Amino acid sequence: MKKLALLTFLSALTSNSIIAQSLSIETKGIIDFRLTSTSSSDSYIKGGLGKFRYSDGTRLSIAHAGLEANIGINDHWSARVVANGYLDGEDDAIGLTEAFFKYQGLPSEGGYRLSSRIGVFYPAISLEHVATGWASKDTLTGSTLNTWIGEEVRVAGLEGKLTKLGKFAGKSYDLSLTATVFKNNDPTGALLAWHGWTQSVRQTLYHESRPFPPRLSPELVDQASESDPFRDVDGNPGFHVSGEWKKRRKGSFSFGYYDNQAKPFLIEQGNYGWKTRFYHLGGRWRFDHDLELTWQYLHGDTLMQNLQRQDIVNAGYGSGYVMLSKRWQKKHRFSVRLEEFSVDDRDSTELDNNDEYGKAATFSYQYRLSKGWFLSTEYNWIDSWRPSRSYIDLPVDTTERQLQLSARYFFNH
Amino acid sequence: MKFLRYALFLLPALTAQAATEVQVSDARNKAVSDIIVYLTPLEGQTYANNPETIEVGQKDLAFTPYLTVGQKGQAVSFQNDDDITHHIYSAVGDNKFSFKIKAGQTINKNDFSQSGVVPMGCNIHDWMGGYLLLVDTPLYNKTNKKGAARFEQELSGKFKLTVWHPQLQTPDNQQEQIVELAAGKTIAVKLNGKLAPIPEQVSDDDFDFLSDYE
Repeated sequence: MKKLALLTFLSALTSNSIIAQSLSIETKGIIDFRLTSTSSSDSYIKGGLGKFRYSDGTRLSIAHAGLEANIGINDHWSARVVANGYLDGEDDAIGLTEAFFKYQGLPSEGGYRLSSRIGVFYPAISLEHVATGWASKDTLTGSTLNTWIGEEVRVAGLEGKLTKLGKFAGKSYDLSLTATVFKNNDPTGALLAWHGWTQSVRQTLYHESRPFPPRLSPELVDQASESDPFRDVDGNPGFHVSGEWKKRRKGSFSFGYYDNQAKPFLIEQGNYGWKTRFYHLGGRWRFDHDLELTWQYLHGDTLMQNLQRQDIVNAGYGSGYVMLSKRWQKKHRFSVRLEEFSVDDRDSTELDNNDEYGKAATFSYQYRLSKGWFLSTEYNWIDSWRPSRSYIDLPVDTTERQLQLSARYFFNH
Repeated sequence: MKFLRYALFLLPALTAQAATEVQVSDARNKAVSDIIVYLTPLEGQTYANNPETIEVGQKDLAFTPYLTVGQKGQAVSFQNDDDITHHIYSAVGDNKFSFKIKAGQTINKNDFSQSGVVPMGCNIHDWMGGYLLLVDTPLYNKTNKKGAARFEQELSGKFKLTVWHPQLQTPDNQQEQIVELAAGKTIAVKLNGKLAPIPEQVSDDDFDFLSDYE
């Protein structure tokens, strides 16, 4: 049904040739060829508890192929469709990740501007995934925080944003407030609870379901073996509000609060509603044009109950990172990112311990070969404690490592 | 023939002699370039309108030039030399407008009917900013690298001389004085206020493949 709606959206925009002639279409793309050597277990992508998207071993993959179409309808309205694909041997797939209409008003004399998005889109949370196709700009893997956003947090809704452009008053900073209401995203939190924090650039395609690790608790017999995070279970709308202060050429500070307002005891086609809410903070600071500090922190909880409204999964979670990125000679970029993450299992369900604690470090070097070609190498290290690994005979304390080589090509057309 | 060649050679020199120059300097007597100077006749002198089209370019995600001057009613040509679309607008003043301009496109506007400051921005790239000043007189120019604004017309009599720059720290960003002009005369103007630095028209992040996710 969701697939059908997206296809209708696409064809409505492009099939009518008379309409198509009056539209302006700009396309952007990315392709990421990657050689990866991973020391881990079976990846979370295929229902394991490995924290990387690649299972143990060495492989060549198309880590990301993305295409973005920006369709200008008139001076204020445009539409964007983003398709992404992955040929990685874990779960090859292609599909849409976002599709929305965007309205962008003109600033008033006082510099106030109203803009809006309607459709399926990412709430503005990640400070890493700012490139074409939601690609991470400076690293080959997103932080655990934003990997979760890419996996489970995407809304089908209406967003309104009010920006005050400082330049109208001779100020060097802009302020913005954003509010979103959305219908879907009720099972969000399920994957985070059951496989914990992960680290990759794999986004869940809008039509996809993602497998859980094996669950043993008899309380969970009605639960499907895969999660469809973008489903609506209860008809209750969720919301996200955020604010940002952005100083030109210097940096930004942002905060936000998300609550999907799901009824945690309802189930539809094997997907429970998970009442998931979190706040997020983030910032960026440019010490000079070539040295930049980026940080984010997210903290929240999720709740899933049985039909008798007893807590089956009640968990708190948090994740934060600090990244320092240095560029020199406009060609070389070296980024270091340090992270800490946790899940705190607060329920007493047997055979379903979702506790987790871990740390991660990423060292990434990127060389810009030409305008569009970027060659990168990256080392990822995650050290974590997760009792549920014992259910599938893995050590509870595990260190996972990954070395990657990548050739990424970005293009605009 | 030889005489004609000499005559042609001398012609610019002769007209140059008739030109009036305004020399602008700051408080430390340093020449100020790219500042607008215009002259308003005060004794009913009339001068032909400038038939040229004013050009406002967008190149490398910036308004080029940052500052443009013209007469109200004059045609303005917007030229997008970038490989992406811009959404040019002015939201303040008597000449509000907005339009999207595609890569390589030129858009001509003939309806700037009011004099005044036209601050311009791009609704897609917020860091872009430029100014168009529309004046009530055909006697306008910008100073060159040596701080000189030349007026080729034969000027005589009383004029109001105005110097304007969006970063000039004076009331209304301008400075006025009454001058008595004659052909070949040079007027020196010393700025009373400081010139604040021009805001850099540069994206916070110069990565070429950003999408507006933030």
